[in-house]
Amino acid sequence: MTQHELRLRLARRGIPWTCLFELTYRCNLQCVHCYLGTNNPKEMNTDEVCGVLDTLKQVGCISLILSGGEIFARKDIVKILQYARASHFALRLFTNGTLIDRAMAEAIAQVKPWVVEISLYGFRDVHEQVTRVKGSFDDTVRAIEILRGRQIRVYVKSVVMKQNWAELPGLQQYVQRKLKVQWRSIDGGLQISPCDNGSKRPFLFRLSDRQLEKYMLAALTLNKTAKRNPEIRAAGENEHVCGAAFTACNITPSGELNPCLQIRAKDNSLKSKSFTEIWQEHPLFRQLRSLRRGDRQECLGCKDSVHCFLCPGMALIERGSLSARSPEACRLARGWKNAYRLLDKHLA
Amino acid sequence: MDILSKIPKKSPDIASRIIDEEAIIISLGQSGSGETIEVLNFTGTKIWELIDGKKSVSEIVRRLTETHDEPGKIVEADVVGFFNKLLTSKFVYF
Ligand code: SF4
Ligand code: SF4
Repeated sequence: MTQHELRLRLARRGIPWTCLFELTYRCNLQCVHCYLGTNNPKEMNTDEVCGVLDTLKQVGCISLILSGGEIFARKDIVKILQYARASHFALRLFTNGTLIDRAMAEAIAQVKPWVVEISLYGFRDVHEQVTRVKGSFDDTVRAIEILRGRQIRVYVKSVVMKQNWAELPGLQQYVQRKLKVQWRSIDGGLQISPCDNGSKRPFLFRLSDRQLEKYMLAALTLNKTAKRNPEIRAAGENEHVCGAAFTACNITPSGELNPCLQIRAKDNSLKSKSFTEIWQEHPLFRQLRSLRRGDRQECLGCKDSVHCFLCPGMALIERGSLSARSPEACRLARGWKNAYRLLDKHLA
Repeated sequence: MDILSKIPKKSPDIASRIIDEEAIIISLGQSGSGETIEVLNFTGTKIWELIDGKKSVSEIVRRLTETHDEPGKIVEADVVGFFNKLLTSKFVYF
């Protein structure tokens, strides 16, 4: 069975395949594009976090993404990892890597994560322009090497920004050839979200149309096997728009359950309501689950849709509606279409 | 290989859930190898639940025979075949 088939099988029974659990909003870096606002909510303590893991296990969730902030900024992170492993989750850890030393790598190896995903924004100067912390490039690269040495699967990913787009193809080669780990940001890093507090400051770092086209062409040329996302391509009008509230959910450090990182709900605390009550009854969750591709009236007949990864969360932020056309998604889809056209010309 | 006397243990490289009497097992395939996902049927799930790192395969067969109508030999052959599959998928080890 493929992972996609399993996700759907679980979703049809009302079970989320995956949960992105934000353990903390604290972080030792200060990335310029970070979507987290400045307010740090009261974090759940170790017992409360483990209680949430019990709940997730009980509802049938298998894939657990632990994210931050920076998860290794939590003093109890090893305990949480061990508890998650004992609960038989498939663990994915999102981290900047800078706090992983040999002892921590040993603890990570013990819990057998599925993958550790580490962010790298460029070579030293550019990376540290983005993270605003001197020495962070070397710390991250050291962590990647230590983890790889422990046979732990590592993916490196990035966010495509004005500061780094020109050197990302080079960074990809460095990651694959020198660091010998997988690169995971061909197109996923193009969506830059606003801050949780509503600030659109991160939008300043979005690429211009011209930069987008150049970046996309370089990325496609480098990744010759990269194809248009077949899941998007084959999607019918009657299919779900995305996994939010269907195959996936998000939990915040203070224990609120959301459909996704991009879509934060209200009246959703796991301290006052059960997971099942929010998952099944909350109007926003129900609305997302009933949303189909064909409901996006403004997108009907769109010729670029084959290249489009329309995020309803982004549409909600940009246009105030989960089913609206998203100007940024249109711009990215146009960019891919042009890049493919240019690539085909080069190859002809 | 005579596996009846062996004691199977669940691999640490897996994630698993039992949902509606079906065991879902994912091998997390470290470095290089990809994941394998299996959904076990009712009997497979019963066997999976009996694997505790203490019982031998023949003990598991005996437990199953208690609740099955089929003769012990048939159950034994099925269980041995099932364990060979679990071994190939690296879901268990001896
Ligand atoms: S497409 Fe957007 S709303 Fe849907 S799961 Fe992805 S980020 Fe969340
Ligand atoms: S968001 Fe834009 S590009 Fe995407 S399907 Fe809708 S109209 Fe087309």
